[in-house]
Amino acid sequence: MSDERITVVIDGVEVAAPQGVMLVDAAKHGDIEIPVFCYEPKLGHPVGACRMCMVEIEGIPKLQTACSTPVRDGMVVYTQNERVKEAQSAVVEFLLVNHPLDCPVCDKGGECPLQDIAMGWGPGRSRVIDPKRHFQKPIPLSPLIKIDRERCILCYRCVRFSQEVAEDEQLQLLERGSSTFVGTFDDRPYIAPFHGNIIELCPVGALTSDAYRFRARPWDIEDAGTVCTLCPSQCNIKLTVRDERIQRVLARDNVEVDDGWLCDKGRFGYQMAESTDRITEPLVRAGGELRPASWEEALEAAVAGLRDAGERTAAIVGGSSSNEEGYLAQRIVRGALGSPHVESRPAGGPGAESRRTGDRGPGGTVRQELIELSRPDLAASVADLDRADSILVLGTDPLHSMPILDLRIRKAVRLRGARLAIATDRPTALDGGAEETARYAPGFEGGFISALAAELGADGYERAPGELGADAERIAGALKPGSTVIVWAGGAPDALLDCSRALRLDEDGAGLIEVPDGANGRGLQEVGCLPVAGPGLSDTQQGLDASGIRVGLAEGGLEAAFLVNADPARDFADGPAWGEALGKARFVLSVSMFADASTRHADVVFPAESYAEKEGTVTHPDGRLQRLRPGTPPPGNVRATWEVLAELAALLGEETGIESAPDALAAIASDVPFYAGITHEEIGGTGVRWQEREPGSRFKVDEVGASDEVAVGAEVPAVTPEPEPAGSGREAEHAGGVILGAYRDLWAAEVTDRSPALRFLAPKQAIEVAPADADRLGLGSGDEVDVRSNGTSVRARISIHERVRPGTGFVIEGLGDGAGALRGERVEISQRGASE
Amino acid sequence: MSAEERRRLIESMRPEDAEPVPELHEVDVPDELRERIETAMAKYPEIRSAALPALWAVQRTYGWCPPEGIREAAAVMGVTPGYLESLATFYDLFRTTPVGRHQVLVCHNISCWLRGSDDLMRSFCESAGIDADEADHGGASSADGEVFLKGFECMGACDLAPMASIDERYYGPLDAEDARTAVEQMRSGGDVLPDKALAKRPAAGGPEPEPDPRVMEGEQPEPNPAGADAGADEGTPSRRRGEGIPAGAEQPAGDDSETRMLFRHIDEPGLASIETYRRLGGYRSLERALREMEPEELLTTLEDSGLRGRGGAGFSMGKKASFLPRGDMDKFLCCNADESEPGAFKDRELMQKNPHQLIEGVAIAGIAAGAGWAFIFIRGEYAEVADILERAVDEAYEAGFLGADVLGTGHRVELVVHRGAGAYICGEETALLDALEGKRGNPRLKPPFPAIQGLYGGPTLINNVETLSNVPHIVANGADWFKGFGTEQSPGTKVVSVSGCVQRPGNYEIELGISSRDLIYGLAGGPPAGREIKAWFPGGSSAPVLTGADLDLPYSFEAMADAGSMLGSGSIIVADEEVSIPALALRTARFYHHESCGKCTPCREGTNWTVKMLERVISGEATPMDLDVIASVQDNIMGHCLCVLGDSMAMPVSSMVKKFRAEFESAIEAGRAAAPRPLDQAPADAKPVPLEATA
Repeated sequence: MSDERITVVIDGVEVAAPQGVMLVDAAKHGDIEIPVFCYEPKLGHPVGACRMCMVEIEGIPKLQTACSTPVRDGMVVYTQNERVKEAQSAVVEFLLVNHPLDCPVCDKGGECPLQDIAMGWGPGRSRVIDPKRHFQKPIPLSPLIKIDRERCILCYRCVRFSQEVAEDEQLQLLERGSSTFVGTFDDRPYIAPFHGNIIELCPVGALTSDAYRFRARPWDIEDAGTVCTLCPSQCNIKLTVRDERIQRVLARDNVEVDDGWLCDKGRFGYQMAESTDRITEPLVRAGGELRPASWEEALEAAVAGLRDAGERTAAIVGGSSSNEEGYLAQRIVRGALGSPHVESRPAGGPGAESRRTGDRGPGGTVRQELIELSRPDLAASVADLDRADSILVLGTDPLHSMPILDLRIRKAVRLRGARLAIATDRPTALDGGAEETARYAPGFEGGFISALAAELGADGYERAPGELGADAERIAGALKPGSTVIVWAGGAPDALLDCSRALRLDEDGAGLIEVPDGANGRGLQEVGCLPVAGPGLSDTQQGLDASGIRVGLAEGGLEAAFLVNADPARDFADGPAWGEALGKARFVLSVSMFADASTRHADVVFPAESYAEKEGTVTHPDGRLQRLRPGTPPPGNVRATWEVLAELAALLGEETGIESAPDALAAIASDVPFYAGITHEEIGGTGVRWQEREPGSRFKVDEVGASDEVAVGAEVPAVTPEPEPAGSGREAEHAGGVILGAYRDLWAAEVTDRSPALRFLAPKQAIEVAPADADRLGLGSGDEVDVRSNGTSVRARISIHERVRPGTGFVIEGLGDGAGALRGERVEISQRGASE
Repeated sequence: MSAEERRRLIESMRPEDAEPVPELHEVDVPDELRERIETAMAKYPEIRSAALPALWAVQRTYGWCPPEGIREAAAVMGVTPGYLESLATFYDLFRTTPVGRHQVLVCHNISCWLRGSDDLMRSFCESAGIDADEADHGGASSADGEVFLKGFECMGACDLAPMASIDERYYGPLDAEDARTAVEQMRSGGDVLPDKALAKRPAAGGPEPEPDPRVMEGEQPEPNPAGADAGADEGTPSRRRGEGIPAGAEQPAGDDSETRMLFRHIDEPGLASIETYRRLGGYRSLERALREMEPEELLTTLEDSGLRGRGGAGFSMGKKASFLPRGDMDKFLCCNADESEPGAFKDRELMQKNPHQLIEGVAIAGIAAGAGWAFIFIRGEYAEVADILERAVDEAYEAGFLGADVLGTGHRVELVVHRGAGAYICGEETALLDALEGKRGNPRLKPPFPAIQGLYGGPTLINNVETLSNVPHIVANGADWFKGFGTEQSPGTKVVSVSGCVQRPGNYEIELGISSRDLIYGLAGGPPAGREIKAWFPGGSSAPVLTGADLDLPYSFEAMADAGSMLGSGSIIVADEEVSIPALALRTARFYHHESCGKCTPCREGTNWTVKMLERVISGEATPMDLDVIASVQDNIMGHCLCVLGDSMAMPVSSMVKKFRAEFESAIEAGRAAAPRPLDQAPADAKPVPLEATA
């Protein structure tokens, strides 16, 4: 499709439309609706199956499907003449031959394309007196979806989604002809992370949400557009609200962000916001117990606790926090309390692996690298994935860390033939479509990236020997300089920057997308929630990172913890240690929706808003600022968190002058140079990437306060490759256990436990090992084992996977059992119940 | 299911119950099965093409496709079991329930029905103790587990009608006694009906007639090896003219009506072997094409010859080949051997008896089109023919006529025989491509046309068996020679399949333009003595029917089109005066309903609805107004579908209602008179629908 516009004559009216669009879309430019069922551009190429959109085109004897006919200049089209009307009416009649017409008891009633099209284009009467086909109905297709096969008009949208978008290929057509029905192998449940999208795709009442069925009719509900902050994908959503309660979540298509898809977490996780377990009023610890208190009492107690601790306060800002919340939290800590300890990254962010830039501060990334990595010319947008010739997924599995990117990358490979390379420690869901995959030892991403830099010809790197070098060479060979997008998380920013230079990622359409740990990780980083940089990545007094803070709290160097939408005792890899540290802290203030592992240690709890109640902004990993808009009022005595934080700041003597959410954004905009002048209006419904705004384009390394020492790489000595840890599978023989990696499972999150619909997905701890290791250790799938290292032990089940590299194993982090803390260790695996 | 049961079902669903791609260590795949599947995967440029071979392997291993077998295949292939189950339920020949040891498929399509398949089925059922209704609708097995019996759609052996496929071998014509014998033989483990086997059947036109002087002339430039010509005289078509023809048949008509080019030497013993084929001059054209001609010259010759596709559409073969883009991209040639149109069986005989003629044609066309990969997509029912073809392909590879470097000339032609699994729709060229890619055989939206974007997205030339079998003759003798046969618009010969109510059903190779009467009466013997022809399909069951009044039309593309019908692939089915047209219409509609892939609405629903209405016509639950609805539904199907399958039902049904309306009206009257219950009563099998409106 080009930008060139052409003219077609539709029903006698000249319509200007972009060259090459399908007729059905071109007609919309002239306000002409051509009815469709199977056509859904999100699903890829049109299939022309339902035949609903037949129109007459001058010069072509047969009627043509408007969904699959690209417009040409001068085309003359009839969509409403007798011939077309008869054909369209015939198709409606055919579709209703087997449809039960049970609209009164159908959940789709009132928002059903079949109803609308039957009304608008159908014959209005039935000639069918023959029996219709029957199925048992409705039956569960999955725990979340009911299927009514009698209503199905076999448009195949759902099946195409499963096969061509999610590519899980679980949902299939069975039988053929008029006996065809949608189903699964052996009547198994359809359980896959994106399967909820088929509910929205279904143009009839055949696929309905179990959670939404019969909760409302369309005239009972209102739509409220906002952004899902359950993960960094930040998909655009519509909340269906009835009587101030969320009844469901639908996609609010934004091709720049989500392509109109949602994962099941985003679709069903709204139930967390509606949970009756929410904390709905402030709590203050009295007599050893948290008791309800007024806001005045709670604020007073918070002020007293924080003021006492002063600069010995540290804040952990959780990833779901908005920019405004993060900004205000760091104002409180830095401004009012004079402490530099503000952190939003559970693992301290990338950098632990960096070996070129010398002094890194206590475990954190150096600010210069953050600035380099934030350069607009190195930033790729999500939509750049659609255009890249090659994509490298490095150190992360998007399915778990940023699910919607998984679909986006699949699309790039499927529709455009992008070459996909994957370099991770753990197998990823995308491996099947990859041209090259490489597995490095858990925790060794820095070493791998250095090896990759050498293969890409970056200055100052020596080629890694052996298989590591060969793996890096294969990956490098799949990447096209100037047209690669790297989706990454994890370590070694300096080597990554060198790779970026070698791959010319500063060219248009190429670049980096960092998958942050938290949903709004990028926004929080940019508004100042880092120990190494203030708002706008400005220079600041160096603070402690997450593990430093934990140690500080545990050992007494720090006195107060300020947790904003954060539950480190559960969510962080070293959760149990965090629990202990918070237990030792003199004062803990927590802003939280629920009583959780961390609020157990809190002295004051401010009830938090859910994302559905928030007003504010978040920043997408690709730099897109997006608006959160309240869809429902917060329950009980919950106040807007930005408001509470502004008040707390004022009470602590930090006068921000912020009296509204727009004020808060304005304050951010004045402190973050590359956000300068941004307003809610400008962000609008679909967001705006700061890199594409005028102030963003002026982003210069020095403007954000960098000094001249930035030059990374020039005079530093060459990096010599370091060997991978022993026993990680490169050797033929290895004794003992495995090197352990950890990953954050998509479902290892509070939202899974708090949403009844999702609870069945809550993962149990499992250690993934290669078949060879399972054989060696005499273990079978499902065996209960202890995973041990240095006196720490975690219970798990054995899960065997062919693509796991022998000598390595992977556990789930974020289950609160501290398994993540064993990451990078050599662990022993022993069967439970076996002699100790 | 009650609300409570549903709740329990949901609660019992666990994430691990879903079926993503199984890993090999999770399943215990029998070694032989694994080897078969892996061999198949290695044969194709893309592994999913091995999906049908994999399911065939599963069925061979277990006798059917059990879920566990499907899972095993899925693990070997690295696909979801759901994907394979979707295929297994699409294709008729895969069985998804356990069945008896011997498989008997009894054809119940038009030509066999016209010749007594109902009685044959009844006899099989009685002998095996199987319920006839069950057998005819999906199949049933005998109590002793020995016999699985299933009514089946046309298997491309109307010359054997009424026929059956027993354990993948064809037998016919069969009578009630044959059925009893066959069941006994299956139970006792003996050879089944050895005298009725397809393999024993000679060409319908009788022994080799004196070769046409023009054909002989064509053979002159390449002197035949000694003895080659002797085939006509000494070679052992042992049968005398007229033998093996149903009782009462007349002697064949004068051989003048036949012109044998493709069928030359057809009953020469051993013709299917490469030695005999070469002895009769075979593979010289390929050598010539390789050594004396450039690919462009080959294309020109084919185009100049005027050869029209013999699959039904009649498009110029050379022109089609010239549509393929030039260049280095991977290009493909597919031979459409999915002959499934009721009434058509010419390709079967060509492949069964002269497979090398086709292979040579494929190799030449592949070189002309620059296609390094060629596939013969043969319908799964033709298992014994596919076996013959595969042996012949092996021989051709061994002799260097196929492979990475054909005869050392640097040309690459890999040839794979790909077996379908029971789906008429795969004869549609884009559905064939989908099936070859390992998908359900659904037609694709065109454009893009296969010549531009076909198999695996590459340029693809698709030609019918008969079309490609002509190629060696054209290359050997030149375009002008070829144009000396047939008509100006359609040069060459045409193999015509004649079946139904005729005394000598079979394939006849003629030059187009002879009178239809000569063909039907002269060659095929006409209907049994004393009966008149009431209706006939001139081009397979999808052609609008003609009547006895149309018999003097010349049999040519143009004349058939002018008469409102079509010549199609050249398959004539004759119905005599004893045949009920409404019943014929129902047989026809049932076939297309059964074979509709279901992708597009008008075909899926229209065929289904039409069958229900026609059933009512016969059962006495219709009124004459329903005939108007039937006619209108045909109009609503025609021209509105994704491919031509819907039209293929609408055209003949519509023509029958139009030309024989009075007969339909009397059928309705007769049905109503005999109807066991008044019209306002619900049919006995209609069950009230429990509408469970709560979660």
